[in-house]
Amino acid sequence: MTAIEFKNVVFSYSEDGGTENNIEPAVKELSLTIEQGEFIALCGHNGSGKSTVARLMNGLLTPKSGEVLAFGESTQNKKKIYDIRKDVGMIFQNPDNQMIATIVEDDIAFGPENIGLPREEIGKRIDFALGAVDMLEFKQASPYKLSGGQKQRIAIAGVLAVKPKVLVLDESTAMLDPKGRREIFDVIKSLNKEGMTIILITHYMDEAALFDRIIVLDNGKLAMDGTPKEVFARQTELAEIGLKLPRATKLNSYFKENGLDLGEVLSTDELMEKICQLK
Amino acid sequence: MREFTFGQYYPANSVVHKMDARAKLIITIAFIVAIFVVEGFFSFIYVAGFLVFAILLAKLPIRAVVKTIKPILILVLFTAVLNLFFYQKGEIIWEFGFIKIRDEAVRFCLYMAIRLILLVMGSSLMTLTTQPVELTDAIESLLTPLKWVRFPVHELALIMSIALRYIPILMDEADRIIRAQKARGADFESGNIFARAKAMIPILIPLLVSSFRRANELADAMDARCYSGGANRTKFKQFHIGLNDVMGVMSVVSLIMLIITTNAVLF
Amino acid sequence: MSIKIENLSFIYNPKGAFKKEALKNITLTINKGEFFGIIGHTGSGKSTLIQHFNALIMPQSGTLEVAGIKVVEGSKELKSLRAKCGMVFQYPEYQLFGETVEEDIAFGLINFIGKKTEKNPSGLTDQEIKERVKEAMELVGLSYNEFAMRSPFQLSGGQKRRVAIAGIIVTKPEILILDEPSSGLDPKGKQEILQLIRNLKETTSDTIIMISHDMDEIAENCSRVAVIAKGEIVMCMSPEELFTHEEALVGLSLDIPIVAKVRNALALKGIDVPYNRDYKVFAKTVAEKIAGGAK
Repeated sequence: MTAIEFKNVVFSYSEDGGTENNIEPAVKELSLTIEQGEFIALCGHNGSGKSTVARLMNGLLTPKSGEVLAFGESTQNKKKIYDIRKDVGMIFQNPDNQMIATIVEDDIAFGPENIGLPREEIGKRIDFALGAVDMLEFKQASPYKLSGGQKQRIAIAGVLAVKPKVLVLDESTAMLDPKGRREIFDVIKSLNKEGMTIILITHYMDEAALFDRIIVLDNGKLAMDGTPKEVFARQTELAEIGLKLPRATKLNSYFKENGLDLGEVLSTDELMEKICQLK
Repeated sequence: MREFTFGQYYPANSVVHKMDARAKLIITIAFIVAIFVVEGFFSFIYVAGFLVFAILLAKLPIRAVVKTIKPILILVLFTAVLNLFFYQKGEIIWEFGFIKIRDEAVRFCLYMAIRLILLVMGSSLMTLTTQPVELTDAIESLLTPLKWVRFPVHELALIMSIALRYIPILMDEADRIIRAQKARGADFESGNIFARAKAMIPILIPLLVSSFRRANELADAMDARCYSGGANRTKFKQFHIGLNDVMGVMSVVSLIMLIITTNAVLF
Repeated sequence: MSIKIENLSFIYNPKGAFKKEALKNITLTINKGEFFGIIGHTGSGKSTLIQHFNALIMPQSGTLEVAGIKVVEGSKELKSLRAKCGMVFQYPEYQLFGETVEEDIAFGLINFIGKKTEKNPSGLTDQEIKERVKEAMELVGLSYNEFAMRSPFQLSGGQKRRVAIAGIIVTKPEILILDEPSSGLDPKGKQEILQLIRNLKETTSDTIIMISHDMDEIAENCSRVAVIAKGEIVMCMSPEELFTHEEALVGLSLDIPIVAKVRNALALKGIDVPYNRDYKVFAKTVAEKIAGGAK
């Protein structure tokens, strides 16, 4: 099943934002298909248009021309917009700026309340969502007292509570320390195993290497789209776009240059495994 | 790290803490009415007795409640002194040059002071025993009838809830900005009042910019979580009126009746 | 000596219910000319420590001397200390407030040295201020003519950060402290900021102290690194040596650079390769060792 489809999408901030005239479109003629259950990293340098693309997916922004379809419904269809947002959940960068309540439980309830679920069901959803991010013991806690990684997990739970089919994370790991980043990765990996489509926006290529598919944007256009292996094979192009190879891949390429062929390497764990198997 | 709460919620396991926040709100309003219904000195004893009983029930240390009048003490003294000299009714009981003090004035001042103190202690009792979140929910619930006249009850409650959530965050942020500007040699302590006001600009502007940025992001996040205003929304937290709530309301009503009867008998 | 710390301890809310020991008995000397790294995960006490260097937090017990000035409550030299020891907070662009980039950068200069008046004959003339701002802007790679009159709020994220850093180095601090200077930037932005910091070490600020979560960044730049955990310095040594203690670091949920990981794994197999933070050089040595052996 197709989850999200971009058809020749053009988007520009100039008309509704109105900061300057003749602003270059943030997204130019983008076509893209995302199937249900995929595990995708969407990459690009700052200003490449990746956050705009994320916001086009759930109708927070709508295309100037072309069309974005979420499960067959156009995001321009105002009647269906709440259905689309229910299906396509979204997490933002700063966990502090996406919570509305002073108690974890109340915050998780916000989404289910918005879609008008009955009270008993909301209670069940809260337990389900907090369980999925392993934060059940913090049900009555104040978000203010949690660590960055924990806050971001609560934000994810808040979205999971409406049971979306797709989860878009807009640089949701960028403000976290390495520990927090791992926590979030573990959560989205297990959600994906249960069938949820995950789209993480990031510029850490080490992180992107752990996904099944990498989409690279540059200057509002699709620059690359493929498996990590395919994308990282185009090293020079990546460098031109301002992105780096994952550290393990980079080191491995130097090994190869010097006559030590370990085969393909995408992540640190893979490289270490191959090093341990040497001799 | 800093904890900031309105009226400093004082956690304890008591009947009063467990009462429905709406009942507490109604009782507090009725209590304030009672304070102003009082006409004779004698009735203040009922009111004070009611308050002390409630404090004991709430398992609060009396000291914690008394402490809440500290910030208004100066105001109480100031108005009392002003009234003492300028209240023009009653017999003059003491005279020194142009200063004349009348018996009615003494009475009026004492009443005013006692009323203010009881009022502050009474409302503090509510904030000490009720979580801010419960209070906003209670206000929303009690104002629900106003929806019929198109008063944005839900929005008002949501704004209060968001304010409660962001006060500690913005206080931390202000603290950070103050430190950052201090590191750039900013001086907030010296100079006259105008110099000090001007010194606030490097704090206020970044704080405003940051609040707008946060507000923008929050609006996006709320949209993404299917927020579409108050209509068709359900509510997770619900109130339960219990026996204690009914008894609480009954007793405050009895208090008012008692005062009115006393008034009628004495005057 | 740039910074000398002896038995420094700090407790938040010492009398309150939320009492928290942030620093325990820290003793540390940071020498002039060092590029000193501080690592430790969130809440380890590293921010509390560096704020002491700038007298933003005053020592509760123990002694602290920064750039020859004793940090004690009530000292008249604290303001000049802050001028000598610049502090770049995390996300420094959030402190910008000026109407123009120039006004913002001049803020510290005017606070510390002041404008030339009859009362302040050692102050700076408008022309001097302009020169100093221009110099600072050029050091961070922003052209004065292009950016000085623009509003800092209209710049890109990376440019804003440069303006904020220029606002610190405009007083030419001997010591420059940076709290996660590259966080939130994309790979290219990161590289540029670190290059900028290395340039500053050569020009204005001889001693650099940097907090970072990125171990490659630490390995690449620092001559010495302190690891802080639960308010204590648990290790303090060169990055080369530090990253051989893989287990201890992992135990503190800290990463190590990939080069160090490979080196340590090879050492366990009996292949000793000298650590080198340069991937290219390291890979060459490894390949030679292994190819020279079995293959």
